[in-house]
Amino acid sequence: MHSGILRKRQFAVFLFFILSLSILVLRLFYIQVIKHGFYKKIADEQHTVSLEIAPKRGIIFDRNMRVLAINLHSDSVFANPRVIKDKRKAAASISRILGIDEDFVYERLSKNKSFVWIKRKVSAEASASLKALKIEGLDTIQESERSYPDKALACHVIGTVDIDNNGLEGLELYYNKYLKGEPGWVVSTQDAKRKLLESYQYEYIPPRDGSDLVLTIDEVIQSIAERELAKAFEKFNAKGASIVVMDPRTGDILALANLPNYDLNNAKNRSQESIRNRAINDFFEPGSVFKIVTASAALEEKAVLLNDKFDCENGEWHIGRRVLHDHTPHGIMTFKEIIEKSSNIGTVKAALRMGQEKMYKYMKLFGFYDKTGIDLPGEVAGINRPIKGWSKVSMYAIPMGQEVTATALQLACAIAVIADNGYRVRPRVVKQVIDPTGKVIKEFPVNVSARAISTDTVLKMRSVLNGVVNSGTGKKAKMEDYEAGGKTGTAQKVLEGRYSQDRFIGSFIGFAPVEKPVLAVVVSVDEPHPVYFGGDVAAPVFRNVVNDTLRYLSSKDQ
Amino acid sequence: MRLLRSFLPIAIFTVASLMYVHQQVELVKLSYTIEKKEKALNVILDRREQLSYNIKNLEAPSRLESALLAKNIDITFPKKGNVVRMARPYVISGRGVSDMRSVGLEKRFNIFGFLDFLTPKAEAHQAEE
Repeated sequence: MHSGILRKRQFAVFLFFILSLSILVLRLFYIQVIKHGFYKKIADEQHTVSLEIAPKRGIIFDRNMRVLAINLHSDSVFANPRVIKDKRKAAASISRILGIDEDFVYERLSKNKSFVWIKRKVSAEASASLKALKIEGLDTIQESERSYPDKALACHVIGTVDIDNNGLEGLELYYNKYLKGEPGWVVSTQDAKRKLLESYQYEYIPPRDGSDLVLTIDEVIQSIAERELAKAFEKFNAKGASIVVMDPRTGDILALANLPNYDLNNAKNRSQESIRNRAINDFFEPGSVFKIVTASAALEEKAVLLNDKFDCENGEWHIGRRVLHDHTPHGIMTFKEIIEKSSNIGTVKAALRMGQEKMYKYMKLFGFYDKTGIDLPGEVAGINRPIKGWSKVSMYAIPMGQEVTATALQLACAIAVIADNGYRVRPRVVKQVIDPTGKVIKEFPVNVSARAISTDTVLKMRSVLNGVVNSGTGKKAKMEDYEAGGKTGTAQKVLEGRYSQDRFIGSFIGFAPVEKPVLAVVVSVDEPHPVYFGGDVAAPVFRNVVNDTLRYLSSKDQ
Repeated sequence: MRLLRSFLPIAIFTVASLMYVHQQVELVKLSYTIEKKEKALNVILDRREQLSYNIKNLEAPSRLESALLAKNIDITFPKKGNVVRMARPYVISGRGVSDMRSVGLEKRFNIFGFLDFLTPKAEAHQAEE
C-alpha cells in the first residue's frame, strides 16, 4: 500500500522534473534555434562595432623643411546623459572646468541620448581635471588638433581648419584634398565597457594619412618681412599693410604677410579685419609704382629714350578742364629723371608719344588684366577697363597709376618682369606635395609666360629704378651693402567715387641686387598717418627686409 | 567499463569546451594587454610630438628675436665680408686651426694598405641596454 503511494509520488516528482526540463529544453530550442537570427542580430549590435579611423592631416613645411603646421592630440569631452545621475551638479562642475555656460552643459546632459559632445579639443589640464571628477557617464576621446608652432607667422598663407580638420582658408583649404587623407575603418568586437578587443578584429582598413606640403615660403624671410611690416604698421598708425617677397626667377613666394594678422592657434577669437589676405584679395589704385609699366612700354616701343627731355611745366599742366599736378614742381627733365623724381606730367607726356593701344598692350603683358594664378584661394585681379572703355582723359591718368587697379601680388609680378629679364612668371606658394613615406607625388614647376619686354629695356629700367633709390624718391630704400632698384607710390584712395584728400596708400615696389636680382618685393601701407608718402612709409620696410634677406641668403649659401 | 565508455565522450567534449573557453579568455586578456601597451605607446608618442612642437615653438625666429630683444641683445645677420668660407676641411688643435694636410690627417696611398685589418683599431662597442 505504502510502496504503491511512494512509487506514485516518485513518478509524479519525476514527471514534474521531466516536464520542467522539457519546457526548458523547448524554450532553449526556441531561443537558440528558432529565434537564432533575431537574438544574434541584437548580440552583434551590442558587441560588434564599426569605427572610422581618422587619418593624420599632412604637415606643412617651409622651403627648408621647417614645420609650419603639425598635428597634436587633444582630448574631446563627451557624455552619456542616460548614465549621469545628478545632472545639475555635473553641469556645474564641468562648466567651471571648461569655462562654458552651465545651462548649456545642463541642456546637453538632459538630452535623451547615449552620446553628446560637451566640448571638443580641450586643453590637457582641463581634461585631467575632468577625469579627476570621476563622473560616471563623462569621458574623453583623443582627437587630432591642428597646431601652428609659429603662431601668427604666415597666417594668411597657411590658413585655418575647422573642428573636424577640414581646410577653411589659405593653403589648408586650397590643398585640402592632399592634406586631408582618407579615413580607415575597423570592425571589431567590444566588451561591456565598450573597449575594443584587438583579437576580435574582423576587418581593418588602415587610414591613408594626408600628404605633406613643402612651401616656397622661407620661415626666416617671412619672419623678417612680418617684423619690418609690423614696425611700419605701428609707427604710421596704418589701417592695414601688406608685403610680398618673391624670387623673380622662379615665382617662388618667399614671404607674404598682411597686417592686421591673427594667431593661427587661436583663430576663433580673431577680428574680421585680420582675416583678409590683403595682398591677393584687395585691389587698389597703385599710383606712381605703376609708372614702371609706362616707362617699360615707352622704352620698349622706342617712343622715348632715357635722355629725351620733357617740360614738366613747373608742376602744373592744364589739359582742357583737367589740371595735372606734380608733388614737387620740375622744369625740363630727362625721361630717366622723370621716373626718378616721379613726375606725373613727364610720365603722361612720354606715354602720349606711345599712344593708348601700346599702353594697353603692356598693361596686359605685365599681367594687369589677369589673376596671377597663385595657388591660394580667393585671389582677385584688379578691375581694369578694356581699351574700348577708356575715356579721352584715360591716357592722362592711367600712365601715372590712376584709373587702374591692382593687387599687391600683381604688382610683385609686374616688378618681377624687370627683375627677371623681361619674363612674367607665375607665382607659387607650394613647391611639392610629398606622401607620408617621403615620396614626391606632385611637383609644381616654374611657370613662365611669354616675354614682356626685351633685355635691353630690362637693363635700362634697372638703371632707371636704381636711380630712383640712389637719387630719386626712393632714397630711403638705399642699402649700404647692396644696390637696389625700385619705385615709390603714393595713391589717393577712392572714397564714394572721389579721390580722398587725406587717405592714401603708400607703396614701394623694387628688386635687389640690381645687377642680378634675386628678390622682388612689394610693400603697401594702407592709410598711414601723419606721414603717408610711399618713399617714407614703405621704402624703409623694403630696405630692411631686402638687406636682412640678402644677408641671410648669402650666409646660407656659404 | 560500460559506464566509462558512456562518460568518455562527455569528458572529451567537456575538456575540449574548457580548452576553447580558456583560449577565448586568453584572447580577451591579450586584447587588454595590447590595448594597454598601445595606450602607453601613444602617450609616449604624444609626449614626443608635444616636445618637438615645444622645441619648434622655442626656435621660432620671431620668439627668439623678441626674447633676445628683451635682454637688450640686438642681433643682425652677418654682412657680406663677415662670413668666411673655408675651402678645405680644417681641424682645430691646441695650436689653432690648421689644414688637415699640415697635421698629417689626410689619407695617403699606402702600398701595404691591404694588411690594414691586421692592426688593432679603436672600435666603438654598442652599449648594452
